[in-house]
Amino acid sequence: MEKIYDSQMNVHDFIKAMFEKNIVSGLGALTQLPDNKGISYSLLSDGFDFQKCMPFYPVMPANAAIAVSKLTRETSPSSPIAVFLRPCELRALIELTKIKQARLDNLILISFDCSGVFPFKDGKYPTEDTLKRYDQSIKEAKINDTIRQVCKGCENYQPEGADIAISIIGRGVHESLALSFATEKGKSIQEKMGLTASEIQPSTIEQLTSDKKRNKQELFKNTQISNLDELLDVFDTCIACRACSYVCPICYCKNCYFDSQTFQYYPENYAQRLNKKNTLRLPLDRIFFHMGRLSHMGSSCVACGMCSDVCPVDIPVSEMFKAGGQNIQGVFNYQPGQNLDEPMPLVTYQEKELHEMED
Amino acid sequence: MKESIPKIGVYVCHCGSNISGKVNVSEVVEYATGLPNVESAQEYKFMCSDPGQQLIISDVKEKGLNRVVVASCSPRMHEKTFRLATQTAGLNPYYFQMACIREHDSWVTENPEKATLKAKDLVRGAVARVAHHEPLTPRVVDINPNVLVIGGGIAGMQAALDIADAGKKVFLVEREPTIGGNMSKFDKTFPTLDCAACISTPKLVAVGQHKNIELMTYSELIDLKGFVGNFTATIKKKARYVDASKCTGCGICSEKCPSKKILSEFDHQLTYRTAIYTPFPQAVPNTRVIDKEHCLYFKKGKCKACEKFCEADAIDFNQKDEIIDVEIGSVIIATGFKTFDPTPLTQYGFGRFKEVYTSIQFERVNNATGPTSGEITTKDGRKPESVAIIHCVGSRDQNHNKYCSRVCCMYSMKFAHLVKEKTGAEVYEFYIDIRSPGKGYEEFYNRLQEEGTHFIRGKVSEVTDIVDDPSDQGKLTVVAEDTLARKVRRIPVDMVVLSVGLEPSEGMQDIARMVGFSLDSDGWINELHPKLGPLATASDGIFIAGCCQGPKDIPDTVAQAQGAAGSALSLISREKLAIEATVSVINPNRCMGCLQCENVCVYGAISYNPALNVCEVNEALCKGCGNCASTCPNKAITVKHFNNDEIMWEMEGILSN
Repeated sequence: MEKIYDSQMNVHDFIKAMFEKNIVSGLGALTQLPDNKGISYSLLSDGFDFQKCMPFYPVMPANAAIAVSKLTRETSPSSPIAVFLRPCELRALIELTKIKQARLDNLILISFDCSGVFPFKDGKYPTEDTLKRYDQSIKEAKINDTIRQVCKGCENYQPEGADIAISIIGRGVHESLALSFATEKGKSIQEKMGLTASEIQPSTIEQLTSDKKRNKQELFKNTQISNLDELLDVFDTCIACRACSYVCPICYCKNCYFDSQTFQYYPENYAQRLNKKNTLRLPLDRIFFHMGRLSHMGSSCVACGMCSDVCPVDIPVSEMFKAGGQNIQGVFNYQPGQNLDEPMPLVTYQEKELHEMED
Repeated sequence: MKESIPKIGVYVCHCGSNISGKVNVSEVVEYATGLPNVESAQEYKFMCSDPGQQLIISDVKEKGLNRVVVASCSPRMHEKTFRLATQTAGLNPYYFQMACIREHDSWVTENPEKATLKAKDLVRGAVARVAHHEPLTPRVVDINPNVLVIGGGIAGMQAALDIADAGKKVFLVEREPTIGGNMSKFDKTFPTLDCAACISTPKLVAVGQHKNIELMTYSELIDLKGFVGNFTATIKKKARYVDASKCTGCGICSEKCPSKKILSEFDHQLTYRTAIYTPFPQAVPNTRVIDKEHCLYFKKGKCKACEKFCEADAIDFNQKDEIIDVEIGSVIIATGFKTFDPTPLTQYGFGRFKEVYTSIQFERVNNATGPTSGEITTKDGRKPESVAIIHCVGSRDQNHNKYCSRVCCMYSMKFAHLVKEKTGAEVYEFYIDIRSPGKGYEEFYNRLQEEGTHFIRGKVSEVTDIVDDPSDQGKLTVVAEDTLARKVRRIPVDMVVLSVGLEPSEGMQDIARMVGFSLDSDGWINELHPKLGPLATASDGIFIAGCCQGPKDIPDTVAQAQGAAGSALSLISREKLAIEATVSVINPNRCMGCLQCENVCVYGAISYNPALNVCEVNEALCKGCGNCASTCPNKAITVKHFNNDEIMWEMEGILSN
């Protein structure tokens, strides 16, 4: 366990200090849009009114790993940029880095223990009252009941692998920041900012973790699919809009294969299928699409919940992907996004594995 | 261009009675006639025969067929035959598809009706597939005639000489300061007892003087890139600190060098050498080397005695390692072996008793240029009265190397003969089994028995300096169970020779990774096929010779070296190489440069192009296995002749009954 230091600064002072000490030349964080029109992940430079920065604001309009990937895929930024990421966004970024869709050089990864985000259905922001209750639940290290389903059952809410980790659970978002520095990069920032005084004790979170674990089991139970009919039922209402794949941080393909020519069938294919079944539901390949996606990114799914959020027909996509993903990850004992050096299991050959799958 | 309307000819083979004994061929033919796009269907006793192929050729011309399906054996057997026939008929060879109704059907199906049904399914799949085939053209590349030989022992030298004599350029890379390898350390060679130096020194000289051989000693391969016919090898020439063009090999530098107590690698620690040295008098090249680790000047910054006395002004302390790229078309690996280190077998007392020698040390003791000028004496100068030779040290041993090292029985008997001849001492050979398969080898064994060598069948349990009889004080006692006489023998001897086994040279893992071949569990190189491809590896254009593939004696090594040289020359004489057209291609518009394909490619055929941020396939290295295509989540990769369309149609055909 890394030591935690009291920075005696709130988040805005901390951001300002990073710019003043020339530690960063840019910042990525959730920020209030002009004229209070909403909140969005934004890239900011020195001179911006950092009071508008809201890194802990409990919504996820998009998984920030996608933004960071777009920013760094071709080349790294020429000067250091700090990015605020929720733990699941950080894990997604690490997965993307493994498959060369992002670079971490000149990035300073700041994360915090996350209490979940509210569903962003219909683009509605949480009310003042909801936010107050949310802040209270952070202080008390409890689970808020109106956050995303996957957030309620998220056990990986600690900021593992961040250069700078902020502890808020048990303390609250308005307190002075409690910081720890796990990496070399983090430690050098700690030195530059002179944050070596006043250590503080970590909050007690055992109860919270065990509550989340219980929620997860329940979530898995509720969304369990044990046969083909249940699978057909769950996806029955899917309109094949592909929105889940567009917001998924792990779905990194340039053009989705399911939109390619391969799935533009010849008339004779339709005829042949129709002969056998007498009826064809159009568009074809809806479940094929979901299963294809699960097989491609299940081992890397970080359970951020974006897919469920955008589903216009309320299919619990992320709940099912979290369950399916954990099964795949469990087979290889793989934790997506935990360690940049851990190779991805499906492209790594090991002589001794999966013997239980042999006959 | 894809022909707009496919006109398919189907040919169902009887394969004698191999297929027709189970499958109702006529029924399959009749069925095939009714399949979409099929112009004609026929049966024939042996499609692979000349008249069978002629059938295809004349049908294409007369009936205007543009696709061909043959239902017969496995494609591994005759796909090439029928592709060629299709090509001879004037079609693209890839407008052909084979349905395997022998291995996959008639041979493995009991019920004739089911077998006939399955044959129909397979033919239907092939017909559906071939209609969607695309024409492919193999790419032709030039073959660079230069050859790289790695290792300058007898295998490497022989291979280099054969290739150079054929008029081709050879780069011979040797890690040590001289060529010659292990053979140059030997005295006599079994079973003919001709002198190793007399037969190997002329080879050293020939290699050194050959105009087609560029000798690179004290050098190592550090990288190999490219593919068969077109490799680039990167070689590190280590600094000798002696200018080879000036050094005359007079040896005054070694005489004057004050660092004299360095254990000689060539004499296997039995003698000392100086910091500036040459491994042995007949070394090629005869240019000295400064051993930087032990040189006083490099250690303390002063001395330079060699420089002072060198009349040729050849010493150059500022020399640097050189990195050289050479272009070659094929590589022969001849990295040889090292001997087993018997130190872990503490019961034999190696390193503890000064009269316990390894066999390679004993070769040096026997050699006229060795520590005793060829006299067999103990370290305090006595003539031995009795000598024990212990076989299988480190070989055929579950705790060390499980394999038989093949040469130890024979060289041990050679030692017995030499000891007897030179000293008259009693020689005791402790063996498990005597293995003497080879021309004149068994005869040599018989000769040794007649000479009075004591052969004791039993593994030695201990070599000790505790003697039973006080008059034997100073001798070593060898304890072993004589399993033929069924009693424990304790024999006092003056010298003990451990017949140590052979192991792969140091650094084989690195070379394997660089060059792209695999090693077996003992570390020897895996040949392409244990019987029919003993000189080739799984990487095209990479050949092997000598002990790097497994323990062997000199005749076998030389035979392999000449074979490898022949393989390389055969490749060179083709001048051009057609590269299989069934390779994968990456569509740069779809590729995200995620490198997952590179991760799963075992042939190193995929590389990353940072300028475009996409991956690319080297067609010459690609074997068309399809690993990359199935890994790419973006489906940016297509394997030619196995693209999705073709496979989907084949499946559609097979399943659409």
